[in-house]
Amino acid sequence: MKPWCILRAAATVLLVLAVISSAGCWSRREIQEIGFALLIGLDHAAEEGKVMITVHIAKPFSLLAAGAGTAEEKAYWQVSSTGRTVFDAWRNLRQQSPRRPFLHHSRFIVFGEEFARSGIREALDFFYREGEVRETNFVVVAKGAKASEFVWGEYELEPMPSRGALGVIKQVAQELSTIVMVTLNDFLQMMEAEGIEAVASRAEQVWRPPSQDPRGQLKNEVIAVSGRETGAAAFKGDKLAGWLDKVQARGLQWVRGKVRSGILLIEQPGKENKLASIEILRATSTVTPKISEGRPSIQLKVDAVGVIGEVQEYLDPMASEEIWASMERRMAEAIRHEIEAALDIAKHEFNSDIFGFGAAFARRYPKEWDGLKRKWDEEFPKLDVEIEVKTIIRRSGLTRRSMQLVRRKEEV
Amino acid sequence: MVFRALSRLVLRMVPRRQRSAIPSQRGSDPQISLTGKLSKNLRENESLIRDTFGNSSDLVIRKLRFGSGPGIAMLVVHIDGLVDSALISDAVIRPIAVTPEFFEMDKQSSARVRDRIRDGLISVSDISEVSDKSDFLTAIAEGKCGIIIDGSPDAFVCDIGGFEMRNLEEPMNEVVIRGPREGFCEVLRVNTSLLRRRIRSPRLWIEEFTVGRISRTQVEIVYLKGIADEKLVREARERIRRIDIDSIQESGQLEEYIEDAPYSPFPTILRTERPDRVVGGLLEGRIAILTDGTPFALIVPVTITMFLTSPDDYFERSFIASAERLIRHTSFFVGLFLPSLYVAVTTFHYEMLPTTLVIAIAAQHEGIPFPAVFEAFLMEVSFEILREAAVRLPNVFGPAISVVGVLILGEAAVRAGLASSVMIIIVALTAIASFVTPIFSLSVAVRLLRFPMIFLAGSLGLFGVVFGFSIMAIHLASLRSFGIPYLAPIAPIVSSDQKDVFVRLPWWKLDTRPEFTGKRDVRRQARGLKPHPPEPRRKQAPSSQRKKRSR
Amino acid sequence: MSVLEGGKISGRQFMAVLTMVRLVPVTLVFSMVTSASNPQDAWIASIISGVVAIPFAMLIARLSLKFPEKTIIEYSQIILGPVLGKLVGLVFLWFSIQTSVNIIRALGEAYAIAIMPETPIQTFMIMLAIMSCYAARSGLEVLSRLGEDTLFIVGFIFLVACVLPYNAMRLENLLPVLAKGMSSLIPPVVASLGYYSQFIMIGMLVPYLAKPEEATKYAIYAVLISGFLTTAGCVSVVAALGTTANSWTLPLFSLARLISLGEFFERIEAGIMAAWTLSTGIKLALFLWAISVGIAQLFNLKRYEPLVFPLAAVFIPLALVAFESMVDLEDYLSKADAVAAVIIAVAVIALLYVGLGVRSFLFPGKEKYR
Repeated sequence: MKPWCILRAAATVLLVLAVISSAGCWSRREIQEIGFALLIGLDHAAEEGKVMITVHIAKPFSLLAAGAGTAEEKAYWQVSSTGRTVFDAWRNLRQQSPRRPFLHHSRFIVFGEEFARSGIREALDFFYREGEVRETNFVVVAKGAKASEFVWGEYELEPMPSRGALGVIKQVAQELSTIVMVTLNDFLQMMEAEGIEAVASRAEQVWRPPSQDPRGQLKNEVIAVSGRETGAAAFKGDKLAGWLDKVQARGLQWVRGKVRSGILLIEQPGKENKLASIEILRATSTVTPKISEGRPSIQLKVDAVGVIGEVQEYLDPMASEEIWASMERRMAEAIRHEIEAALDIAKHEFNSDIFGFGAAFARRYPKEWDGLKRKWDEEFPKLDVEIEVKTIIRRSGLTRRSMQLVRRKEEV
Repeated sequence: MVFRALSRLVLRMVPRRQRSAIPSQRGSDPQISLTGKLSKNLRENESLIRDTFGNSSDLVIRKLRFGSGPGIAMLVVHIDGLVDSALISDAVIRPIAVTPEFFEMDKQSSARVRDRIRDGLISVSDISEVSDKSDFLTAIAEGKCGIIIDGSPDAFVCDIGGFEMRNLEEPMNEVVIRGPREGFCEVLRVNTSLLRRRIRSPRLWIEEFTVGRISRTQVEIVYLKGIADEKLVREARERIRRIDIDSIQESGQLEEYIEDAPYSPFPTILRTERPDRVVGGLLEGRIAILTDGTPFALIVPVTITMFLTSPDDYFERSFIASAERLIRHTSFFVGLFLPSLYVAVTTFHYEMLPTTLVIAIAAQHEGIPFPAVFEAFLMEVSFEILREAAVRLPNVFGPAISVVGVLILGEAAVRAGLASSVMIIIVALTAIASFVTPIFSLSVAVRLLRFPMIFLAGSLGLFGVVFGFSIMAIHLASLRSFGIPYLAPIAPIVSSDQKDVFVRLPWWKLDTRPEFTGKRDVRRQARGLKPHPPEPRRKQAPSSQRKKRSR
Repeated sequence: MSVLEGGKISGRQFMAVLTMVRLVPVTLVFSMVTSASNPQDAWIASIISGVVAIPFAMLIARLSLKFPEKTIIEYSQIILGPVLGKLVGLVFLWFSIQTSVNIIRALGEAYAIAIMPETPIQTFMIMLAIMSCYAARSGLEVLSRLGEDTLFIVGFIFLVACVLPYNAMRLENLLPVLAKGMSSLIPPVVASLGYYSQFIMIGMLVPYLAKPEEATKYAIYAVLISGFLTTAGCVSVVAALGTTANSWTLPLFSLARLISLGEFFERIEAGIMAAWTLSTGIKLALFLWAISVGIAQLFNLKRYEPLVFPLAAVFIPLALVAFESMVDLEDYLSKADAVAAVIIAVAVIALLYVGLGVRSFLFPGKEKYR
């Protein structure tokens, strides 16, 4: 190989090396330089026209120590900053944090009630345009509190409130089904689509009077405030329209077909004032839009399968054929009651189609929907919803009949 | 035309030894200016021999004289230590000494003596005639026994080698769990005998070359006639013939002269000490090159997947063997990419890690002054130094140093805040993974290439890793080993060869030879060899029908 | 006229490389979905464009088979005479150059938008160009060997990206079908056909096939596979992203962001991006090779290798200058570029066939051209 060949090769290699090594300095970040923000809260700032963003930044050392049980301080740092827009507020966070905060690992977004009521459309753009916030974040609205106050809440068993809140939300969604669990992706689609309004999870602060509840020692600090997540927040357009409580939220989930499990309390047949708990195994729902004589109506079919979980009074299902059927009927009744509660509040109090009936029309009768959608605000409260609930109770647990723990003779 | 082909065929059948004398190599040692034939005068020959060898102390010249009167003299020349002295006296000297005819010989009957010897007096099977000075002298130097007859310019050399050699042991670097424990040794003929014992077919052909003007090392290529491609054999022959060097000591030297891509970090020739690996290659249509003086045989042509196979893949059951193959392939990638992936992810793409893991890593990195790239480099380089040291240390210290090095130094580094525990784990895993590669040359390539990959990952994250991977892939795809693509059967995808790459299908399914080397004789086994229970017994049919059914 | 390289590729490699040509825009830009006012119907548009593309591919393959061992640059000169033929060749080359520039910019932008925003886009472009130049210089055989393997990898990851976000998918997002009528399908169909027009590259590849008679078969396979994958992509993107599908810059990337299995297998979209880089590298390498070989054949040069790096060096500044932003690029690709591509491809093929017909009319009996 001639000498100048070697020289040329060496020069090329050096040049490439120089390019590559200098190139890295732009995007490279050492992991110690990063503050991982685990949740985001949005509120109105104290000043007029400004937005306040609150994040929890994880403190790695403390987190590890907390995991090992030798925690000296909280495993996270709560910090807020303000700005004229959300991105502005987010950037201003640098003024307070020595490490560059990153939103990649955040798990949920909290809107304060006041902020949600005033319309969140302007705030949402940051979340989907900027790549750091993932669309798999859950959306939560804090009832009766600002987001920055809500996130003070701590939970036992989890050093980080974000994980605590998320754990509660998941549990409630799976085991109780009285909460709607909505990801940002769903939320955005619900907002953009015609014929459906957005819902989000509802969360509240729960104050624990220290004298009555000495649990939760974190360096002699009592957990003063915790969070309770249940129910739903209904939006109309981009503004918060109202709240659904546990029963109504589950009614909504029945319609959406998202009920996973839960307990339905029914009165035991023949023994009024005594309750039986039916555990829901699974449920499906079908929403069929119909238009008859120009009038739109919805046929809602819900199929639910349950299991006898608990009875308060002696029960022998085989004593008479009616008992099992009666329990199933009562279960259906309970379900219907929940659905009607949800329908009621959505139609008459918020006038917000959170069930997606309009979207069902758009899918099935696109031409008629074109005409209907302009008047949907008036049509929706008048919408006829035919509810048909079919229930089956499959099992009775480990016992066939209850144990006769009390003799039949009446005993005081 | 037919006649030519036939004659060529006939000539082919004849073992090469008798066709020519010693195959003369192109150009001889320029320091020894010898041309011409041996002289008829014995004294001249003797002084020639002594001068050329400089009266080396291990040169033994034995003069024999027989016959009446002055009689006829003969010289028996050999190098002490290279021949079996017992055989010299029994097979060479004694027959000459006790032949009655020779008692009446005199100087004029040198031709008769020569004829007699040629016709079989000396009871050595490997004997040939030479008349060329340099041929004779090099034959002596190569360890043959030379016989010169006074009055005749023709001399004989016979091969009665006997010298010390190592026992056959299992090669240290290529250990298998299940399989033969024989490895090659440094003697070429023993090695070829190991091959012959495993392929007892006359189709196993061996061609000999002498390479190196001074060292005159014997190099032999071995192949299965009818399976190996003729073009391949010709190519191998050509490449060995063109080597003009003073000495070849090891097959590795030879390798560098005949390989396809001298500047590539990836080896295009496989070196192995195991006869079973060589035999496997031969049966696939490959060529083996054996070099005297080294137990390492070369196999050409090769594909990269061959470097990741081990002979016990074929001797274990298919299930286990396939699992091991997969582990090996995974380890190959792990050894190459793990540190760079770790660096890329923790420097650029930490969103890819689960939250708890990323926080744990961040906690460990607190207080470490180096950026992750530099830390990775440091740890990797230290480990390479340790590894190299462990190889060179005397056996006594070896294990102790490796334990000390890995455990204690690693621990100390973490405690001192120079490295994070995760990094130590990554480095250790990578190192272990790189040892899984059965063939050393490839694992070296992987070890070396790890460093540019770390660098690329540190500067451009996953894009850098992809870039490095692509450059490597393009390079590998453009490599050829003696004409066959290096990445076959992965690229180009040859579906019939997939049965032996990532998994090893049971033997009764491995019924074709690899596409590129085994085209001449594709099918290896009969069909329907899968073991199965015997056919169910048929019910007894009436005797007439039974008669019909039996053959 | 020289063949310029001795490499021969197999039918499967041919198919793999062509599939990559169609897939790369889908992975990066997906202008079918972004240009559709009704993204729910994009999958129908994908099927329709696939069906239309099959005869197109067959026509080119047949045409190229009439001139064994000659690329489209060469045989267009035979059919149409030196002047017009060279002109057609130049048009083909210009079209390919345009495509290459588009790809370079698209990949650079994709990385700059999604993965590493702070790094200047030139870095990605230069590194991509280096990769592809190396592959192009190594020859068609090496390139297509890699293409074969890359197809497996990329195809697999594509399907993974389409299937894994099942948590977020709701199939009712795909209804209502054809709500806005068939006319709303025209923009996505045209956008897709614009990419299928790049299959005119078949004209450059057929001479190098080891078994040329397989060209038609494998070209059709390429259309089918890429059509299937594109349709799957359309379905998944809309199922997961709903009506918002056409507002994302990189729909397939945003789809991959939704992957969340357990708490541990999340946020892996950077890895998926890496797969797209491989496919883009292959496509760019193919185009660089084709353009170099084309130029060499047009101007009767002996070797094409020296052209590769300088071409790339010219493409990069072009890519930087040609578009204002990714939004501009996507808009251009789905509208102007698609229409132009379709027109060019159709015109070239039509011209060549007409020329062929005229020749056989004027000089009957000269069927086989050597």
